[in-house]
Amino acid sequence: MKTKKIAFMSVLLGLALVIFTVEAQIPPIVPISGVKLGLANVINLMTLYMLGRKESFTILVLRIVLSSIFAGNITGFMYSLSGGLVSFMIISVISIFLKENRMWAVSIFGAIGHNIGQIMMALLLLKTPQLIWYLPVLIISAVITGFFTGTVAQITLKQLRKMNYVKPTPAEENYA
Amino acid sequence: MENIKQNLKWTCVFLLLIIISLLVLFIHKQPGETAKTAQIIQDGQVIQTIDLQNVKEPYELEITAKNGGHNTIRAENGKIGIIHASCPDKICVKQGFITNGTLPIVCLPNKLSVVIVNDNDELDAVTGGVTQ
Repeated sequence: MKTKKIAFMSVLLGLALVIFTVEAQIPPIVPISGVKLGLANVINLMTLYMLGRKESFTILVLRIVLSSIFAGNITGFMYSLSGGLVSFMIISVISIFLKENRMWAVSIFGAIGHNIGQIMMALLLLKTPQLIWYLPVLIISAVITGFFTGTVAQITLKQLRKMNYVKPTPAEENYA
Repeated sequence: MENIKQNLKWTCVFLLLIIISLLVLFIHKQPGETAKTAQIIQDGQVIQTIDLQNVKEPYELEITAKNGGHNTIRAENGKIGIIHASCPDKICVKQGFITNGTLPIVCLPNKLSVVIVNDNDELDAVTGGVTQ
């Protein structure tokens, strides 16, 4: 069982890395720093509901560290990490109240948390208080992108369960 | 039925959030059209102040970051923008020229931002920059 879980988590981490790398190749559609689809969060969200918090956190941190090494981008690492951690804190609390059929809403909260974390990091690094005006813009962007990634995660997980690829796990009992 | 109700409830919450954000942006944008002063801020320090209304001939400035990156800023009458950057994504260049203080231009890798301040809140912005 343990080996199976490690293998499963490796696949999820691999998927998250591929999604992240492919998304990084797409030129930004909206020319505003911080506006990004964030498709790799689909994996984080699914892991949270399939395996649990600890596993989701592990995959999140490993994905951020590895993808930053692959991209060789230390600035990106700082922003990914601050955004990812704030986002993780928020969704791990909200997922207690919202179950699998409300993953799209959990995802939006996570995306908003991600952007708040990034702005906090930007304020810290650039020491320019005017950057706070990015917050309303990034909240609007987070609602849209978070809805999209959350819906993708929700539909994918639903199909996986239907096909019995993912059996209910101990973490699942909380949501039964 | 319960499911639809719940989804509707959360949709309303998020729509409200979007409306509040738009309102904040709109209110923030209001006092824009008076005197325009641009500040170029690097690592929290105002390194250059430009009165955009007094720019007769457009000119360019080269800013070198501590990490070795560089940005080229172009000032024109009433507007300012970054026209060249060493970073890979070039979001600051794509953001184009700004004419008001709604959204500053920012280059995250080079820790550079270009902010337009109004005369009435210029004092706050300047002292804010100095105290840091």
